[in-house]
Amino acid sequence: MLLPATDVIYYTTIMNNSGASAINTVRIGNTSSEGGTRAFSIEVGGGNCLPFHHFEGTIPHRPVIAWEIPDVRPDDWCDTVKGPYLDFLGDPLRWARCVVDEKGARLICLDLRGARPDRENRSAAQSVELLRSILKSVPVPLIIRGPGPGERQNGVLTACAEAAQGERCLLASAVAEEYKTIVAAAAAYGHLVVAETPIDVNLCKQLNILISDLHFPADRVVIDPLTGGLGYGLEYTYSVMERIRLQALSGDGMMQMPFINFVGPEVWKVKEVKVPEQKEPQWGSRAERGVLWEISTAVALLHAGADLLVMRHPEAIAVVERTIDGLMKKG
Amino acid sequence: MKSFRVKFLPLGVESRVAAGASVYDAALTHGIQLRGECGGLGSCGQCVVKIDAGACPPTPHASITPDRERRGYRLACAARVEDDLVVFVPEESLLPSASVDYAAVVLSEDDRKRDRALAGVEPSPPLNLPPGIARPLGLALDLGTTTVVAEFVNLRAGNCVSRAAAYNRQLSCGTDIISRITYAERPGGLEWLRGLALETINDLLARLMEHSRVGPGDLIIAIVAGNTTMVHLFLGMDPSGIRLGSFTAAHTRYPAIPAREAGVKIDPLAPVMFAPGVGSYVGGDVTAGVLACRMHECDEVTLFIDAGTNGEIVLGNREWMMGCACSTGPAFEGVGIASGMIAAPGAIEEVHIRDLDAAPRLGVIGGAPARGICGSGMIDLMAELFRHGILDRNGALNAGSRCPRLAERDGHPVYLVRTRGEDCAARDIYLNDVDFKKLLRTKAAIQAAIRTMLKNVELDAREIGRVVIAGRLGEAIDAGNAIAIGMLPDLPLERFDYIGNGSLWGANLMLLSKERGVALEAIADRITYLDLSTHPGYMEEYVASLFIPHTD
Amino acid sequence: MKLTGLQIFKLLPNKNCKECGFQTCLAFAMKLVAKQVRLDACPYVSDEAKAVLGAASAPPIRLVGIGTGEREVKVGEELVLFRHEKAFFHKTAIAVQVDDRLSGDALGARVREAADFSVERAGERLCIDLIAVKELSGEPERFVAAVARVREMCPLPLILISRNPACMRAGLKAAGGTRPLLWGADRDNADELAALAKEAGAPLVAAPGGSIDDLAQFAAELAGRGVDDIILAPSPAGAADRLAAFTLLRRRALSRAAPGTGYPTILSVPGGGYEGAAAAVGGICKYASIVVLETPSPWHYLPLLTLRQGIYTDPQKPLQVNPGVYRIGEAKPESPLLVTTNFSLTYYMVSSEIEASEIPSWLLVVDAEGQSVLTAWAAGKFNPEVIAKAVVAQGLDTRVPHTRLIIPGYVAMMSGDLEDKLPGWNIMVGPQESADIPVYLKEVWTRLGT
Repeated sequence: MLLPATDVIYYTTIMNNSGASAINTVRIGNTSSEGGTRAFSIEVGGGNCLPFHHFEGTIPHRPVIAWEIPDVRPDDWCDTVKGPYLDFLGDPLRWARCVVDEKGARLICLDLRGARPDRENRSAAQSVELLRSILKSVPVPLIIRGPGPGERQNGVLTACAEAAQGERCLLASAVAEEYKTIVAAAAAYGHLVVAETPIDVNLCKQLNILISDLHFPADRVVIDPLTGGLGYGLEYTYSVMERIRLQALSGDGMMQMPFINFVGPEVWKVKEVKVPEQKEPQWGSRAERGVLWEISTAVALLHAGADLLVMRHPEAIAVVERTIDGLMKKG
Repeated sequence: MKSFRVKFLPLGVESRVAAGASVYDAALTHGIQLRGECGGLGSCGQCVVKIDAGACPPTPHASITPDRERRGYRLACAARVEDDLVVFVPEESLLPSASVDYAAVVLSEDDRKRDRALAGVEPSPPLNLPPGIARPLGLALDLGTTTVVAEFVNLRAGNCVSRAAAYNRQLSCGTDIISRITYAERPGGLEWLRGLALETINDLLARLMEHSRVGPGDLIIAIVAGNTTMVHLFLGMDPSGIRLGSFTAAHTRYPAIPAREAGVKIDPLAPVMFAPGVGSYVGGDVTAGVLACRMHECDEVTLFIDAGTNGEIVLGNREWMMGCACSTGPAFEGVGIASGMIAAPGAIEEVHIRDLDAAPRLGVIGGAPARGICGSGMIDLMAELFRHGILDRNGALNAGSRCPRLAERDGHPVYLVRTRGEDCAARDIYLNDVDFKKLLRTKAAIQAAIRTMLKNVELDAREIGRVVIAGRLGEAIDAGNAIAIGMLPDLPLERFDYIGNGSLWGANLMLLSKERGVALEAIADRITYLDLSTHPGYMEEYVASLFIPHTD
Repeated sequence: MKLTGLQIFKLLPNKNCKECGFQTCLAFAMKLVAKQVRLDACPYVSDEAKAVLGAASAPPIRLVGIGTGEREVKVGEELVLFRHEKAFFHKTAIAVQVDDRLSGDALGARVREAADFSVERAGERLCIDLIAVKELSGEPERFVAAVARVREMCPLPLILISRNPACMRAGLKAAGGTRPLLWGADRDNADELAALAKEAGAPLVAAPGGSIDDLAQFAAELAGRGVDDIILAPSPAGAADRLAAFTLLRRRALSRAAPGTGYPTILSVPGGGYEGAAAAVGGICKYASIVVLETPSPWHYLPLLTLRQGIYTDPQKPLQVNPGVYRIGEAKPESPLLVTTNFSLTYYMVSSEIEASEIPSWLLVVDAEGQSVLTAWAAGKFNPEVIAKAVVAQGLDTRVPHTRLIIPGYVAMMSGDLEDKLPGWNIMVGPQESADIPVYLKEVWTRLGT
């Protein structure tokens, strides 16, 4: 059979080695039997084929959506996405409880944006206090997102890591310039780490190598390839994820981590979800357009290999969950 | 005590500074060394900075026009910190990171490499030797962006009479090729650069003439091998086409001109000839090197690497050749590196570290005491520090490692190769964290260029039969170490061949053999130019190469 | 088989005659590999070389045109499975469906919305490409009426959907000579529909149901009946099955070894809500050449067309934004003015950081041929002249009376020259990394106190 060179690579590395190279299975959250207090833990990754290619591999775990919970009142969120949460804006604890109890969230992403010096400048102690109360009354596994690289993040995430010792939370994010502190905190207190690099195959692998050079286990790392929202670089993220995933499946151990995409924050800041239809009648209903913007971004990323999606709008989350249902149903 | 926040741009560093301190001193605490011949007395007017935010009263001085004063320009030494400030430091106010010693140095050790390159050549110069001169000499000139090397060649016997090297004085107008071109685009800039090149060359010649006891009239021909930009500047031709235009915008062939016209102080009627180039960034220095390594005669695929300020790479054999260039910077020639120097007597060219606690074992050109470290020594040092875990894969010094030779100088972490007094060293010899980043970028540019070119012709590195390294890195380079840091492809060591200054040997061949001169023209015709600046894969390879040894 | 540049080079005469316009035979060979020149540009190429090189260059997926004239839609001729390997070439065509049971008003409204949709984005006009008219009535007259109405209303090429040969014949006639895509060939109507397609020179959708093996076999049979332009309609059972079908078809087509697979593909998704759109997203990403939206609303169009634009950009080529002055937030004359290049990623990074700063600003985007700041500077495309010219051309001296311009930290060295070129302006050097823009604006700009 004559094949174009690209297919040769594809066939030999993936078809023939099926089962040889799989994405790492990453478990988020510890139950009491595992030394934590979560009601259950979540596993992602583990597949040995391209996303949803059930016809040529096995995909033991479905992608999981994490609900984004900001620690302070998210005044910058636009009405469409604030609307469903009007009752809890500024009350992250109730907010988290509601999405878990009423919306069926199985994973939440606590965003400690309020700790940023240019925002509310909340102290590490305040972040820890909030985290403690959430751990106490919300039973699901947790992603903890720091305020952004820098000393403040190191302080906040280290304090949170200690406060949540043994809970196996996913700490976001380590970056190439600033990874040692977070990795050390994750190692010391039994957590996982998001390794974030700016939409680049090589930088992604380099950070994974640097983290593994610290003897941090690869199955406790998740890749954040940096998400471009739809219309704002999504296709760059998409292709970088496809490339990383292909390299991972062909046996590159430093690329075999699952992906996380912070979809919500990227989608809900763009012009296209904010402009009302009165201003741009062609664009159609703002609310539905915005929700579809988040859905489209998430679904495209699922096709590129996303394992964890951090999202905002409940309706978008529901639709993406159903889309995942369909894509996980073996033919 | 009252204090204010002062931030320095474009570096972006920031700190609290006691009220009343001078901006000059505040800059120093960050290792930002401003110019200032007067030593902060407010008289020389060299330490001009711009206050982008915050209140700061004017500091009257002749060097600050009223218009600039209105826009916030102040003398750093006279400006006092009485408010939170954002201070922009213009490049021209910065002290160059390494002061460059432009003095010519006579070199005498390279002859075995020269002999090898010239093996089998019976002198047949491209001009008739006048019977009146007992010992007619030719000048072979390697006109580099950072270093200029001149050699006097006996046109009858073919031997080298003497050889000297000096830093190109154009360095004061920018260390890389693009900066030189933009400098030339300023009013009067081109003439200024041409003058600096001639000054460099003529001082070298004076030094050599004195050393060899010959006069200008004894030198009856000159061959110049230089990159396209250097030759443009040497001839006073506008180089802007080189960076702006396509392949054809730059001149790559140059007619011979009399020395008088060129401004070179040898026999005024002596022809000055040029090695032909291929394109904007693959010039006569490269074709000369290819001639010297005989790639054009070989069946096996040869990889030729000239690790100069621009790294130039040619891949090919007698059937085909492809050439490209990448910007590596002058680090391997010692410029911009804390203890860097040219490969000349006193330069550390070999470094061995067996025991982290002890002083590294060194090879010094001409023997100790060491004065600085040259390219080959830097490669060794990087490889050894990486092996011992002192340097991490990103090229950063591991602050946490326990090594007594790690210290701090001028606010930067450094590795001390020699401390002052150790083995009679006259000063501390070290590389700092920024130096290692520069070296990492240098090696990455070369590595990425090699990988891009191999990909482009779809060859595997293992199909390369011979790797020829040329340049002014040192007397010898340790290919194993260059492989360890990823600069060279991972091939059996016996395939590597360090030929030294290939451009100079090529110029020699043109001086001594008409036939080789013809062969050189053919080489320039046949090299296919690959433009990396517009090549979609190059940047990605570069990012992948900014890692020791490589991301793969 | 794919040949390497060196293998092609060895088939060339190696005369370096330059008559092809390239410096060397090797340079020409490299261009041949990249499919940027044609072999016949070489006057001395041997017959042997022609034979070898010709076979290697035939496209594995047929290019199929729908419609005629300016709005003709072309799909197919794809070369890769993943866009990063080269690029996807012929954009997924988006079709909006109406049917012959819709009331005249409803049909008219949907066609009007679809045909009128036109949004300029990143240098491209985003439009709906096709109108699909579906026959549900079983009555040729009603189908004809619907087709005629659509043709009256808009110039978009048509997809006629019917498995009823009589209806299809009538619809095709109503479509005039516009070469619509005929959707509905199956095992029962194959003879008639193949004949119709051949007669009208129209492309035909193979939709026999069953597995993709059945589909490929059926398409091969249609080809055997003399239909050249075929489009494949798999009939998957669900989302996972759909992804499998489209992926395997693309893979087999590229292998050139599976008869009946070397054609473009079509996918129909329900509209109305979010789920169909989610399916359309999957189709655009994974190998559908045409996506038909069955009952869409106008708010579906912008996200889906934006996605298509992104997926089908050349990944090697930097995406550019239009040069000009962009207003970010409620910028006023006294708001800060920053300048950057028109490389889209640069623009998006800079603009999103400005947005994040919540300090409304003006962003001057200069035409630097889509290069990033440092690359453009090195190539002389982002220099004081270019910036000064843009400032003047945009009339910024009057629009921003503070005459302060913030340049990227990476080009700090041009600040002096730029001040000379822009008398009266104060050039401020911003941060090198866009991520530092919010802090810069907050610290430097707001502390200017003006």
